[in-house]
Amino acid sequence: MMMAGGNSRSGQTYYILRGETLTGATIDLPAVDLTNALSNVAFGLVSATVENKSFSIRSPHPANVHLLTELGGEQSLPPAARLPDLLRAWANIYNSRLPASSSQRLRAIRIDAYRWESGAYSKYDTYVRTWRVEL
Amino acid sequence: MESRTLRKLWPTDAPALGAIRVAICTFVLLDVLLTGFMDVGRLPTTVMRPTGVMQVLPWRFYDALVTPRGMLVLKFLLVISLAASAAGYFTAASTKSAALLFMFYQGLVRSFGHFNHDEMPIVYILVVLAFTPCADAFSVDAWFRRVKQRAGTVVYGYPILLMRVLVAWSYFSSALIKMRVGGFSYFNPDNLPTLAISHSLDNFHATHYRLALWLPNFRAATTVIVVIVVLWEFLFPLAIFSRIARPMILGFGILFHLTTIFFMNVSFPYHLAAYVVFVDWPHVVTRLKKIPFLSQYHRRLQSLSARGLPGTQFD
Repeated sequence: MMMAGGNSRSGQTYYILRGETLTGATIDLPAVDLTNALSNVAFGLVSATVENKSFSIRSPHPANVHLLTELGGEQSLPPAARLPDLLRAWANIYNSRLPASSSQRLRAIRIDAYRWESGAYSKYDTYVRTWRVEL
Repeated sequence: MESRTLRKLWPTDAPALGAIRVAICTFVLLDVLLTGFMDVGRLPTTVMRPTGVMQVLPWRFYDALVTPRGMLVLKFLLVISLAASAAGYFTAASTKSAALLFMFYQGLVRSFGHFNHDEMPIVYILVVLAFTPCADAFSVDAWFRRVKQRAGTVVYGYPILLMRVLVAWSYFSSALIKMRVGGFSYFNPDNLPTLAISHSLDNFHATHYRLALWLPNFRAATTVIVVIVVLWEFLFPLAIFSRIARPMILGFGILFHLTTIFFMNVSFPYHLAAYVVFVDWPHVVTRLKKIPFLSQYHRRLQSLSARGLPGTQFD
């Protein structure tokens, strides 16, 4: 149980999934509510996608191989190359649960990255960057 | 080993093994029923990272499976297999398909994200059930086919022992890994607060409690907590044999797993469900029969049993 130790010196980056509704409100979108099958594994999915880990496995998906060939190799790959696809999928799942006329439907979805700076039990939410997808 | 000695250490009869099959398969079945498989089918396969034997399967297979319809088919097969296993219907085949499908499903969700180990003991237990006579009691097979319970303690006793060992190994190996990777630095007072806070900042966990943010105020105490937890994990194998240690070890386990939900936003429902292998079910039923209301119910069951419902008797 909890085999990895915490390392306060290295700091860490974490992510918050948010949606922007048609009314303009920003809401938190817990990913586990959208895909509850990933309840204990979802927190590794975003960091792996941001780090393009699905491109560095032994046999990547043919579409990823194609993208790598197009761009000229892994070094040319932008960070989070497949994150927009993942965000779009989560937004579609969320919107599919609402009536077509609902003002709570999303017009955009985004992931905000934050950093907990190292060495102190404070400054938990230093903003890093956002990936946003318009729907 | 002498049968009498075996019986003293853990249950060795068909109802004990049958009860474990019913409990485990029902738990997994309910979890599968409550899980939205079709939503997983909407995720892009381009973010998947299959590991181990999951890499053997071609991408064309994943592209076909990870669709709402494909995942619905997987869910349907899982539900049928698990329901049949829980009921003990065509048990020889249904327990094997349930074990295989559940193992595959766990590999599939891990291809998307973190390699979580909560479900592992249940995977082991399903595999053990798939290859043991777990339908000789509490099963439709025993009812319809008049399966006779086998003589001797080995055939029912050793599977139960093996399941207990596998669950205990999950905890014991966890303590070993902590010591191997972190050594005594694992007891550093910053370890638990840092780990707990790191699981409490994002919104990708099943729960979003923020109690971890209080832990830095009790840094010194957290070392003591971590030492106790690691000791408990090392001592977990005592629950296999010792009737005295078992309630304490399992009780601490329940407390520990509930605490991790509130302080770390990490839950271990499958580990908790696996504790059923440590329960001596026939002994529990014998105790329950002494309760007046339940003894009446038991007599009714016995009259049913006399008309051909084997596996309902514990005497």
